[in-house]
Amino acid sequence: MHAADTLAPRVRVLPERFKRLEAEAIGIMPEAAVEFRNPVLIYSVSKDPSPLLHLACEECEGNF
Amino acid sequence: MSYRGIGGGAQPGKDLLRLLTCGSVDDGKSTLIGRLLFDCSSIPEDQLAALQRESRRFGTTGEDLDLSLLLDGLEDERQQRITIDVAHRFFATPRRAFIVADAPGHEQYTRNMATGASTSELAMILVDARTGVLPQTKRHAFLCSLLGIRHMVLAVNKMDLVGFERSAFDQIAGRFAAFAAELGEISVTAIPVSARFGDNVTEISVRMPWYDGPTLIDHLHSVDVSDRRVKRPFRFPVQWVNRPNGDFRGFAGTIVSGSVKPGDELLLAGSGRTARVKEIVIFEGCATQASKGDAVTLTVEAELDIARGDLLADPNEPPECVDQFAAHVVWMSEQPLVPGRSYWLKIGPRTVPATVTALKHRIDVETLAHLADRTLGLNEIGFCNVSTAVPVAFDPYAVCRDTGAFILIDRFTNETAGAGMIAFGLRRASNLHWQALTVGRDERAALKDQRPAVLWLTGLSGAGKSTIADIVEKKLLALGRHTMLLDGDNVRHGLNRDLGFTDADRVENIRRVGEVAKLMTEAGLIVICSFISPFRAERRMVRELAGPGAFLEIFVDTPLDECMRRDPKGLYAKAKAGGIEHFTGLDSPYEAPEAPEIHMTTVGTAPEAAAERILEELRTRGII
Repeated sequence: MHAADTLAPRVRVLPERFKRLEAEAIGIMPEAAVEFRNPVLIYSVSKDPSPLLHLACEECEGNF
Repeated sequence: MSYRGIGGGAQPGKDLLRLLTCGSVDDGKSTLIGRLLFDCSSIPEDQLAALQRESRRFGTTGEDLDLSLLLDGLEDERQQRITIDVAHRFFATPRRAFIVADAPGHEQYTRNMATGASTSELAMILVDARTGVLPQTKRHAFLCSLLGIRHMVLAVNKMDLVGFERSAFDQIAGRFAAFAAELGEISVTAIPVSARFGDNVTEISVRMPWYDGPTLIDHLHSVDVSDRRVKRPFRFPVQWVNRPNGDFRGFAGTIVSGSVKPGDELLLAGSGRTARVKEIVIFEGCATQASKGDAVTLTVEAELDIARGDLLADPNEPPECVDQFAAHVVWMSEQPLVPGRSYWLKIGPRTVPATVTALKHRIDVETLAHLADRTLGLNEIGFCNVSTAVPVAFDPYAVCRDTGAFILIDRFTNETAGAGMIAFGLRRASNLHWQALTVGRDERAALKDQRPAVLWLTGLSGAGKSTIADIVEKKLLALGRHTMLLDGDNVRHGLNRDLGFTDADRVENIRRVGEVAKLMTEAGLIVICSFISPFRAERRMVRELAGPGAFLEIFVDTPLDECMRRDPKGLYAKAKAGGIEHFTGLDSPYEAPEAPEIHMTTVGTAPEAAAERILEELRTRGII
């Protein structure tokens, strides 16, 4: 059973292990927000921070 | 937005296996992982070029590539040829993806291995075919089993150095299987390999025709680590409460067990209250179902007072919720674990004050023997009773890793001091309730027309605590106050006769005195305590016991030289002559108070004046 079967409406078909990685990464975001006084996300317009920024948007959309 | 294509041709169903490698410096662990990465062609070209350069510089394999250099991260570690910390490596074959946690094997890195093992599903334990099963092999296997790993691969490496002999392999595999049987339900697969030459790693070895099992990679491809136990109950630790506006109130977190769909009834663990799931909110909208591993936000239909740290669960299979439980603890701090001391306990997103009330036994990790001990040192493992300030919801670690694991945090340094795996809740916690009483501390104190308090005098031996305490009590008595004086030496003749002067005993000494002082304040008394009480943690514990405003820490500050000069009981002389061990100020530390209510230096001050100053403070605070 993978993403497309259980989570609808879902436009993307993400391999199971990527889905897991993404969920794990998203889980870290609020944890940092709750545990630290002033968390900072460093973004340098390069390949690594870009997915990070996307994940942050995904988690925090509408909240900040 | 679509993520299509990110998988790079990976099959959507391809799963992920997390494995931990265990072995010591010389077993060739790094070489074996390097070999796996190399043979599965997951080394980028730039890294390969660097590897060629470094093989010439640091390599131990002559003209060949030294594959172990792929693993050992930092330059200086590389030069010592020792791996430290936990390194994670990722590689994938067309059939499966792997995350390899690589922790060093020495005993002093037990904590690193525990960290690596806590998220792994399979352990690959390496032994050198020449030396076989060593005590440390057993230590690794035990740690892995303790941290919930149920699948092990015994890689008998360096078969090339024993002439690819079957007997060498059979003997090692047999000994390991016998040991593993003591660890409970664990599947063990033994494979003879040569990491350096690649035999039985990804290719069947022609030099070991007697071996008819799978190659290492074949086994890693096919091993089934999925949990066979039927449907797992739903568990959702609430990470934070998301309320961007008045209309929306969602509970964010990651499902750690089971699955959920709208309409399901959920229990707020520990409260007995339930609510139905309204929506499962994800980035793309709402989901019709979510299961273990999904990071989601849940909204519920009823009004439930839910906060960060709460656990939402299946009401038909609720978690336990108690304030005392038994757990295995791996100690990770230079400062030993001392029963009775207060730590922060973090379980999932929840953090509560806790103490280890008893160390039931320490475990010798090489023989599995249970040893009696008073404290746990760095990298030691013990089985403990833990008591939390408020009940916490949990499952035994063997049932659910995420809701059964915790860490202990040092309250002063914020260092992670230990990691624990809950074995079972202690029934006595749920059978022992506070008896509600009609007459309380305030009523009793009112009769005496006074406010109860603990006056805590701390300082070195010979500082003048007892002298001052005695005068303070005389003065209070003269004023018609009801008092009690607890003196360190006197208490040790009775209540604490069984305690010595080790750190652990000192902690227990103060814990008992703190409890007694608290009972006496509940009787309405002003309790004067005169104790060296060298540790900040325990003084704080008594402060918390006494309650706000009812604890006055009085630091009787006399320099060590002066105390030694006075030496009223001749103890310093005796200690210096070697007659007393663990003497505060000499071979046992004194942690001076950081913010005492009263800080008095005694040099140049008469005890009478010092006592008067304490009474003044009591008047200022309205205690008398």
